[in-house]
Amino acid sequence: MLTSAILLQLVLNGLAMGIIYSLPALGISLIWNASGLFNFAQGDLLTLGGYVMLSLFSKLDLPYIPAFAMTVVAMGLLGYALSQIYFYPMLESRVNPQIILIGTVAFSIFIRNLILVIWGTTPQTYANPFGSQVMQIGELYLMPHVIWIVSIVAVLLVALQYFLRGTMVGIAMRAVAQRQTAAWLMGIRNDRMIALTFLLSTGIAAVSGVLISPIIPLTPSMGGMIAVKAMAAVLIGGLGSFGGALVGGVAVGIAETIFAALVNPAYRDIFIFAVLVLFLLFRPGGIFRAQVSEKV
Amino acid sequence: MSRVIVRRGLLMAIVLILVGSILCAGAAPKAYRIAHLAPLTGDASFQGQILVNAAKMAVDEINAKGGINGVPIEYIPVDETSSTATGIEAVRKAIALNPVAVIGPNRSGTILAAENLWKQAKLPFITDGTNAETTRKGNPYTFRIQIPSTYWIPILAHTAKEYYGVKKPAVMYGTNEYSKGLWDATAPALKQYGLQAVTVQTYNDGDRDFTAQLLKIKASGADALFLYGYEAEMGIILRQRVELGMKDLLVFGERGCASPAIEQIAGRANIEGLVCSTTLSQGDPDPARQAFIKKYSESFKEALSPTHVNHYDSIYILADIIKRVGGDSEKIRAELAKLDYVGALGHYQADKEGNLVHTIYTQVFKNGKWTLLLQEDHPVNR
Repeated sequence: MLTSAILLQLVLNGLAMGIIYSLPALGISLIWNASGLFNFAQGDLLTLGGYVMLSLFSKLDLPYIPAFAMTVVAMGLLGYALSQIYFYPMLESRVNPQIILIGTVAFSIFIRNLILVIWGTTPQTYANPFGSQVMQIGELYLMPHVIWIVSIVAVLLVALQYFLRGTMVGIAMRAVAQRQTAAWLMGIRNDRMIALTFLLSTGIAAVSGVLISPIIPLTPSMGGMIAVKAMAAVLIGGLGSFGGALVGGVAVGIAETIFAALVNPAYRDIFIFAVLVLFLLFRPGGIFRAQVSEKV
Repeated sequence: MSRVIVRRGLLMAIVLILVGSILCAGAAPKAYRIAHLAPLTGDASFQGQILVNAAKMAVDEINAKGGINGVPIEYIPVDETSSTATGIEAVRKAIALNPVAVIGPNRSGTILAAENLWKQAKLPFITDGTNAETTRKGNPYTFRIQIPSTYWIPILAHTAKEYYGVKKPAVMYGTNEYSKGLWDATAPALKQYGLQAVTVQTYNDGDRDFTAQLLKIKASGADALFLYGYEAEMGIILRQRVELGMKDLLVFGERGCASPAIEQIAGRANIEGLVCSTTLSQGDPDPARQAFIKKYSESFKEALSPTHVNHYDSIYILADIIKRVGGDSEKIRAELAKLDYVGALGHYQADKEGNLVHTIYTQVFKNGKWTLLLQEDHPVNR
């Protein structure tokens, strides 16, 4: 029945799917690291990035790289604006984080319906820039985009890790996340740090959206599904850990694919969220237990 | 003196009221109101817009020609939403608009949950859910401009067996009312043609990876796949089939699979050879239907999907009935129950369950475009 080649193919495709969860998981981890917040609109910012790319690349016929760069810059600026209009004023006036969270849910609904009005309702996609021809290695089949996305995620991961741990600005960002008043007293401009966090995380959401949309068709509500899985990936991998985001995403992707094949595809999502509950109960720090209070 | 004036005033008022009421009773209504429930937001919203476009096109044509006996149609789309819970509220809203008849809802789940509401309101609803159960509730006000899966799937099984020599079919369907209804009709249809499914796979709406199911189909040695679901999922499945080296697996689908969204999501090259039975074939050479396709494509930015345009004819069916019997909902219901009407897109006949059964077209995607394979009218069980 299920030969070893087919099992290996399952793992491979699970990995390909998992990488797609890892990308937005990185963004979620970054926001947590740098502001101690969750942004429920992260998935919808990803969708918006995909749609902006659709307009620039597919409708305006710009070349891939410039269109990609313009999308990331435009979305980064949106993230900046968002932090100035919403997140920073809320944090500054010491609003309860749960209330800030609910505001992001509203923003998520706003983006979905904005997309619906601007781009319409039909699922859309554009040509896969990494090629749509499948590669055959023995009995295994692999799409070229998998290799590309894995590489891009790896580069992002290393860069983020270096930025947050190795540079002055990164350390300042983390300091703001841990204790705003103390950071302020140390001469750190909190508003700038929070603006930078959202600029970066929205930029990452745009990168995810651009990379994902040739694989998963753009629909106004697509971000919801991806964000929920990415959220699970972050919590399973370890909140605040970039390595955890990557490993968590891949673990979720492989586990759900294997479960769907061996048990029942209808219960795939139930299975993932049951695993998440088990993690929260028995290992709340995730696979990579992130230190909650470290000195920065 | 003043009393006389008051009396005269009263008399005049009474005369005015009497004359007024006689005039009103004799005159035709200002407009015939038709409400249309379609999913305009949420996951199914891309269908909703096409449903409304097609109906709106017919309304505009009729109103441009002076309406029904000089009375225009007042057409009000109502957002059915993509969820059953809010869909029920939308049905209440449509009924509260006090229309002569309602088109929709579109989703089987909403129809099953809300059908009692229009039974109580005594309003005819021309629904288009695909689940056969929707017309089996003994509700005389439920009509359905759809062909029951039990008529539809045998055509597909017949095509697979006779035209393509399929021996080992696999089945894959989404776990929604629509696709489950199709699966329920598939096993007996395959049996009728001496076939049996070698494997049956399911998936959830919103899933974006189908590796597990496709690889199990590969392992089963199937030579064809009967695939049921909505556009986004079916498009990805068709593409992933090629990405997993299963290009030779024939795929048979119905209605939704001829939607342009599938062509876009899967990629044109990945749907070559796809066989699809629909309510309208884009490749149909018939001039009336080609004219419809041309006019639709020029009028709207949403691409035409053959599955969702039958409400163009629904409006003409209602207009034809209202022209003969007027705006009385009960009379409209009685006429719908014995419908036999030739519209632009097909021939419609009511069966005893209230299905407005129409012509079925089977088409294949060959050399980059849809080509008509078969055209069948079903014997109707009255």
